[in-house]
Amino acid sequence: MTRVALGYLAKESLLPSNLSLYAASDIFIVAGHKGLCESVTARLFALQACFDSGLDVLPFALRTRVSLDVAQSCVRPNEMALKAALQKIRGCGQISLSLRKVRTDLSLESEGRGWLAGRLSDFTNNEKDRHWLQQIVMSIGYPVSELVETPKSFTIGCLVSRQDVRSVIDILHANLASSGDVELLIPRLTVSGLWPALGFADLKIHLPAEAA
Amino acid sequence: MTEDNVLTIDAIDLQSVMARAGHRGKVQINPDTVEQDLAKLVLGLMELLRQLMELQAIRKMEKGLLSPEQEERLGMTLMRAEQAIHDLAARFGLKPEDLSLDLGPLGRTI
Repeated sequence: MTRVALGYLAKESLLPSNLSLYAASDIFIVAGHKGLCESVTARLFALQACFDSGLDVLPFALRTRVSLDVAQSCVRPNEMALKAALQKIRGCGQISLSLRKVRTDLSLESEGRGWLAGRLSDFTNNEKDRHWLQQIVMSIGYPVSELVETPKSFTIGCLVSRQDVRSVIDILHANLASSGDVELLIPRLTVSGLWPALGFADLKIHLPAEAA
Repeated sequence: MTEDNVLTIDAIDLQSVMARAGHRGKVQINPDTVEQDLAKLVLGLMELLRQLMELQAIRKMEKGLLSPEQEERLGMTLMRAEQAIHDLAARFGLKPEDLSLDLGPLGRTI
C-alpha cells in the first residue's frame, strides 16, 4: 500500500498540497502518500485541510486505513449509493455539541447502599442529559448524527450548510435560552465546528478482504 | 447564561477531537510494553463485566426489587471491586479511562 485513500469527491477539484486525486468511474478519490496518512491524526488533518479548502470529501472512517486500490474497486459496485451520500454532504459541514457528564464523587462513601444510590443518581442524570442534548440538536431542524457516548461526555453532530452556520447558531441560542435547567447544563456544553461531515458519512460498503 | 463564551464556533477543539480519534482502534501489544498492554486488556474486560453487573444492580434497585440488605451487599461488592480494579490499573501506570476498550462498530466500553 503506497497510497492511502481518504475519501471520495463528486467532482475534479484542486487539492491541498501532498494529496492527490484519482478518477474512478464518475467519482474521484482523494488519497495521500502512506507515510503522510498513516495515523488517524494525520488522516483527520488531511480531511480538515480538504474541508477548509471548500471540498466536500465523503470520508472513510478515520480508523479504517484503506488503500487506493481498494477504494477504486469499491466505486463501481457502490456507485449509486456513493453519489447519493456525496449529494447529502454537498456544501455542508458538521457542528458538534458535546455535553460533559457529571459524576457524583463517591470516593468518601463507605456504605454500599449510599454508593449504589449515587450510581443510580448518575445513571438517571445521564439519561436526562442524553435526552436533553438530542432534543436541543433536533430542535435546530437539520440532520442529526448518532449520539456518541464516552466515559466523560455525550457528543452529537448536526449537518449544516456552510452558509447557514450563523443562522443555525442563532437558532441554537434561542432554543438553549428557552430550554429547562439551562444554568446547570450550559456550563457543561461545548459547541465546536465547522468540521468535515464525519458523523454523516454513514454509508456502509463492503471492502475486499485485503482492506482489513 | 454567558452566551458569548459558550457558542463560539472555531477549531479550538481540534486537539480534543484528535485525542478521541487517536485512540488505538485495535488491540495492540508491543514488545516494550507487554505487561501494561496485557494489563489494559485484562483489566478492561474485568471493568466491563463489573460495569454490566453495576447496571443490572442499578436497574433492580430502581424497580425496588432489592431488599436494603441486598442493596448494601451489592453496593459494597461493586464499590470494592471498582477500587480493586483501579488500584491494579494504577500499578501498571493505567488510569481508569485507559480501561475503556474499543469494540469496533459497537463503540467503546464506558
